[in-house]
Amino acid sequence: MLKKLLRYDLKFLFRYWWIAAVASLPASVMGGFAIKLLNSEFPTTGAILVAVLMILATILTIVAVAVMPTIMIAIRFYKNLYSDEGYLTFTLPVSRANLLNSKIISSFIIEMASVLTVAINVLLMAIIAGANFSEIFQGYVFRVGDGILALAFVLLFSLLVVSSTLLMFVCISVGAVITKKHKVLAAIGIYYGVTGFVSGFSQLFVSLSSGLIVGIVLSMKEDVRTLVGSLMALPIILIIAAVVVGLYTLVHWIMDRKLNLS
Amino acid sequence: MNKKLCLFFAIVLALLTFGAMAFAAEDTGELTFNESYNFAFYKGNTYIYATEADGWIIDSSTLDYIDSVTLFDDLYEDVKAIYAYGNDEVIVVTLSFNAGGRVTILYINNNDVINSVGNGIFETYTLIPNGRTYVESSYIEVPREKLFGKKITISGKELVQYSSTSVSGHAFGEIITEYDMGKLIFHEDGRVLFLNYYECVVGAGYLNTETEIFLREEVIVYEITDEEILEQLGSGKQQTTQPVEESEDVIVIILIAMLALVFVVIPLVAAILSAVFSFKAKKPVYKKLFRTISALLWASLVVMVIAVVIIIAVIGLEALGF
Repeated sequence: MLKKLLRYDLKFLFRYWWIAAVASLPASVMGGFAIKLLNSEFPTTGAILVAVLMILATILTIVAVAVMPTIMIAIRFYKNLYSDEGYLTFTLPVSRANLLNSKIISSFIIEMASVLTVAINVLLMAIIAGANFSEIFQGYVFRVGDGILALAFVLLFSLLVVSSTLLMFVCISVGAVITKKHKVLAAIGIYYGVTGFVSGFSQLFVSLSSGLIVGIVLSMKEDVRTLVGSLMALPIILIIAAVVVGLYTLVHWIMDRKLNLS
Repeated sequence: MNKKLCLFFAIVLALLTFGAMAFAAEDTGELTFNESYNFAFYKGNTYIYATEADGWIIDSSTLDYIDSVTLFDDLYEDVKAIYAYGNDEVIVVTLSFNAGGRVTILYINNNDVINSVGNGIFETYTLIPNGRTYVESSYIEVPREKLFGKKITISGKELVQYSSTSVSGHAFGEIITEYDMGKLIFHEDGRVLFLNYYECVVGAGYLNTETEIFLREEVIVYEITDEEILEQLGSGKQQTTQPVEESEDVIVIILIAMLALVFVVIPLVAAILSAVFSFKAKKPVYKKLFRTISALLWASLVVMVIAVVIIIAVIGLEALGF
């Protein structure tokens, strides 16, 4: 049954997004040529204006590709579970866990597709603009430590994507439970409140620690730095994984115990 | 007559006048410079560089720019134009380079400059040990003669310890807006002293020459005795004499507390609570979820302890030279 749920969720999420994704590719080609034009020796004022407008259009397209999934995920989750459609959804012979799992997996898939598309677009722009990749990676020798760090980064990024999606689900669920009339508004308010608090705390942390931590890190030898990075990544990954499971538990509990669609 | 035509003739006339002046000045052939271009010698007078023109501020980085091999080697014309203002007080020199760059420098007559300065502006910047600077107060404006109180000497060490404020000067109306004329020293014993760049610093107190004064055994300074100025400077004095090490210690303590909160206290409390909830939960799904949370948090705590031990050991071994 999870497969069927996934199919319908993915169908909804990709319905409009693919248009933006496909449109972004020629836009990136255009952006690459615009950058090349700006880098040319004697660009005229008209050429500069056209190039800047082209780059702006490219950036807007890429932003649309990156932002659209988040909006679609929120709409799908809210409409499918907490609007009138929810009556139908919850009559399906599937567990709440499967409903939630389907939403999480489909969200992760579209978020990753969006990251991949943005990366392809940026790469395309860089190639057309004439970026010299061999120069960038000149002298780079792959080491095991770098591989571990890269793996840790991919894992951390994936967990952060899932946790931010789950945070959105928590806010929508709480908003749907505490109010009957302005569910969306309450969800947005809660989301801004929570993310504001988290970003405020992290900004305070970064502003206090950045100088000191950068100083400590720079004073280390490169191998030691990689070792410290890999070692510190592990507890952070475990804590974020715990946060993901915690948020999952909270959404599941709200859907299970507090749901009131009347 | 057509207004545009009038404007055209005015511009042509101005260009011709300036061109003639430039030609006349170049024709004298008297203008020479020292190696780093911070001194100009013209009609028997010595000039020092002063301030900006064409958007260039002549500070240590600009001097580095002039000195940089690529452009310095490319210098194709020492003097593009020389303009004289008033009684030869200011000359403007443009150094042009084959690469296309230009540096315009204003030189002031070294002998007359002190007498020509109108007012001094105190702009308060404090240099704190890690190299960051911040403005303590915007500025206060004082007549320049009030800067020159009792003449005394202090050591270069005292200077580096307490000097914190650059003093800018206003002079020559439209030609020069502002330039560095000295430093304020908030001494530990409560005195406020003024260091006059033009008396003791070659090149008017830019970074490269400042280092040189700090190395001296004795530096001549003036004690500011004017009560009004001292009162206005009060807040700056208080802040600059504040020991910086203490505030850095506080940051380290806050940082350690935050790290402990994020990586130890919160995970520990959450792990204990999750364990309790996993025992209390009746549905197997919640039991499983809470158990997973608890296990992940305990694991993070254990890994954190191991990581910290390894990091301390590695850093310790590195410090010992292994």
